[in-house]
Amino acid sequence: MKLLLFIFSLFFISQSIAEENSIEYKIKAGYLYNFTKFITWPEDDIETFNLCVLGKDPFGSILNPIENRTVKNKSIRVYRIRSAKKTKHCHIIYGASPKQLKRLDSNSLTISSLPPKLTVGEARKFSRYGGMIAFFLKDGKVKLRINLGHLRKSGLDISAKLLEIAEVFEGESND
Amino acid sequence: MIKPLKNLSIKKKLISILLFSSISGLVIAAFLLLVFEVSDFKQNVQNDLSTMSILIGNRSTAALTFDDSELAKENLSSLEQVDNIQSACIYDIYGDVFTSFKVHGYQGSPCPDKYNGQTTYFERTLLYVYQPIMLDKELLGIVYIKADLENTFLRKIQSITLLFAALFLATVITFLLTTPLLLVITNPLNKLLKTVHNINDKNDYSHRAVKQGSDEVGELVDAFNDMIATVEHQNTALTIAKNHYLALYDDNPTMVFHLDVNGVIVSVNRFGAKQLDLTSEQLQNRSIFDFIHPEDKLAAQILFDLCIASPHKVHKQEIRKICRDGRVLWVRETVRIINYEDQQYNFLLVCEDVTETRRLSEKIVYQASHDALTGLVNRSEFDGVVQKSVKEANENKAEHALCYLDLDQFKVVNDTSGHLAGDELLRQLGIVLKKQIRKKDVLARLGGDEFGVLMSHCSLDEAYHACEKLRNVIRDFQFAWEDKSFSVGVSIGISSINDSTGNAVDALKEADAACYAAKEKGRNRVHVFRPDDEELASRQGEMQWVEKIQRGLDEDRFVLYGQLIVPIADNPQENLHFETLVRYIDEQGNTIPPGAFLPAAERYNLATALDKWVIAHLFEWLEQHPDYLEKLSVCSVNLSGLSLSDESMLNYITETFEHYSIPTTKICFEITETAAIGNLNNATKFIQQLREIGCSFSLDDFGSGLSSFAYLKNLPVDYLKIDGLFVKDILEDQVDLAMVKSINEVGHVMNKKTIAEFVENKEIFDLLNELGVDYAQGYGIAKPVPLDELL
Repeated sequence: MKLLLFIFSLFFISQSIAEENSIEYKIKAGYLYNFTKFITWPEDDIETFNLCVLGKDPFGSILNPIENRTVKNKSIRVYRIRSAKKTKHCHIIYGASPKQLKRLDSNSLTISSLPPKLTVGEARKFSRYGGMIAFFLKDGKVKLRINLGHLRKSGLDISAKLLEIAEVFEGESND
Repeated sequence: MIKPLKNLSIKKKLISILLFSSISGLVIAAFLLLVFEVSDFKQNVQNDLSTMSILIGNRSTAALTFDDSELAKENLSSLEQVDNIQSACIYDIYGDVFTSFKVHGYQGSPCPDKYNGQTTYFERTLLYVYQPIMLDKELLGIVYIKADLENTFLRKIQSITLLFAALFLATVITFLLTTPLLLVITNPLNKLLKTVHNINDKNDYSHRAVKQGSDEVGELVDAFNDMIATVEHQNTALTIAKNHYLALYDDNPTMVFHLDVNGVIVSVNRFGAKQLDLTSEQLQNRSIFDFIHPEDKLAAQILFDLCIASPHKVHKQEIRKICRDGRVLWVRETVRIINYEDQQYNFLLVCEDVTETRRLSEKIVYQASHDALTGLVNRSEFDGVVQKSVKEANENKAEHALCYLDLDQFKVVNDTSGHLAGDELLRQLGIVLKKQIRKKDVLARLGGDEFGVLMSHCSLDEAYHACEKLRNVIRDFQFAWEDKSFSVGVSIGISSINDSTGNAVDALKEADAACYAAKEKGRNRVHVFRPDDEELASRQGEMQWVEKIQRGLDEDRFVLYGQLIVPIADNPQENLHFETLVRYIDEQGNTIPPGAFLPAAERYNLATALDKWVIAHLFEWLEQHPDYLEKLSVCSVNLSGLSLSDESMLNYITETFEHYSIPTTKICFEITETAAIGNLNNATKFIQQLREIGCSFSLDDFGSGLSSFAYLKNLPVDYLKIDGLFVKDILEDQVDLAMVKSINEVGHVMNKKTIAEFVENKEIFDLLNELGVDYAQGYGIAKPVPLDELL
């Protein structure tokens, strides 16, 4: 019921957004949440599950309803962040630029007490820059491209099921 | 269901039970097997398909989450290899078809377009599986699988059928193997049953059942055998008791009937049935009256009525029963009522056969009233008949004739051919006479050679003619005995029985007197008694003499006469010799010769008394005349035959000798040849004893019985008196002469003196002298005179 309500609310919100973008980002917002079901984060001391949108926020209010939900009994918080420096407590980071991706990598190595960060971005090349999951459109549908090597190196555990529906990119280069 | 089984044999029952349990077990097993197999199979298929759908759902979570229907379709296509599945779909969270799949060759749409909240269900052979796809407790979609199990079901049913067939076969084999085992139960029971039938059919309780085991049937056999042993024992005891009582009943020498109230025979003992010449069975349900003499039926009915009238009494009577073969049985019946059933009167009838007793008593009655020799009515019966006739004549003024028949010359037959001949003659004459008289007349033998005939309703004239006829018949009758032939005559006296006849004795006396008169007139004639017949009235026959002799003895009405006997040859030593004779002086003073009263004295047992009177009075006379006694050589006294066998006579004679002091040598006793021969033993003894004291004896009327020579040797007599019948015709008749001569010679040879009677003249005397006879007696020498005239 909750789910239906949520879906309903998502659909209701989208009415107020521009037509083309709103449906695409609505799906992407859902996908962001759905990743938590197929990817496992190691245990940490942070009280909430933090979803951080770096830079420009393409979602707008569409993302807000996610905060009603939980991941492993942790309530989800959406943060809209300008600088990559302030992403230490983030579990998922959307929209990082290739530069920011590099900094994120070094941070995560130095401070082990912080959670590994799942980096999600737009377009296929995102994975080539070191992003872990990239959204891309194919046949009018939102598809995923996963940089498996990077993902694994970060310490996140990914479900094979997720791999089945995605394009898997084995490369590891940061350029 | 149980009812039709009831009458089946145990074997069939057992088989039925076996069959029923096997088949029902088989059917139930098959049914349960089918149900379990099918439900199990369904469950399994459902489980399998559910598991598959879970797997598919699981694998499709990502596809659903990230809207990858291709992948989902790929996942579904893995069902291609799974049996029974026709189609499958995955619905998304909105209930729309996310992706679908159908096996190759399946026609129609793979799944409904919209999911409406159904759960897994079977529809006939179709299985619809709806499996929710969950991810972290959130519903992502539904996996739908449609499977058709028809073929698999058919295979299952086939295999179950096969299994059932195998089981059925096994059951049949088991049943066939088990059936012979039923004998273990049925055999002992059948054997027991056979024994029971055997016992029942043959009533033979000696059979015993054979025990075949120690189970319940074995115990039953033991108990049965014990029971049969008891039954056998009791049966034997009962049979013995029954036979015992049956023998008492059946062999009881009386006839025992059980009759119903109408006299129908309910049962009868064997002896009774045998008496009637039938069997007990044949007599059953016959009426007792069928076997009762017609004349006694009324008496029998009255007896039964009496029984009913006084039921507590026992009633008896003698009646006649008729046997099947017509024999008549006299029985003494004893009847009483027995209350047998339903208060119905029944009779117990016991009959004792008294035929023999009746026959004997009838015989005694007959013998008492009939003469044994001739079978004719005897004197006492005849007296009764006469008495009745007199009474009847007095009452009805009727006239009857009473005839008295006395045979002439019968004595000759008796003396010459013996008593057997005489008896036979009397018997034949009885038959001859019987033929001559009418049926209503009565012929009787009154004694010796006397007969009586009572001719009822017969006048004297008629009687006279009838008697003349009788006389002629008797005269013409030739009696043959051995080589001799005899003819006899008869003297008949007739008296009338009419209303003036006083009593039967008078009538008999009159007939007797008439008969006597007929004899007096010369025998072989008929004389009719007339009250005015003076000649007859003076001599009323023998019967009146009984009284006269008695009175004569008391009143000394007899007188003694003597007739001299003289020696024929000149013999000077010979003194006086006479024979003592007796006469009767009647009331009128007439002198009656002994021929009138001696036969009566003989017949009525007065002869001995008369002899004693004669001896006493002779001895007294001799004592009173001692001079004459002195001159007397010997004096003869007649003794009757009865005196010879009278035990008191010897004593009387010796006492009288002593009383009158008469020398015994002077007395000679004369006895008749017939009297001596009739009592030869007594006579011999008598003669010997008196001769021992000195008396002498002479044999009177010698020669009249021609058989007498033989006896002469044994009779120790001194004198032979030759019968006067021979002597009187000695001059004319050569046979008589020869007889006298031979008697004289025989006498002399035997050392006896001879005396000739009836010597009536000098010529006879001279001839006797020539012949050498010793003495002579007769009218030609001296007539009998009173004793006193002898002096």
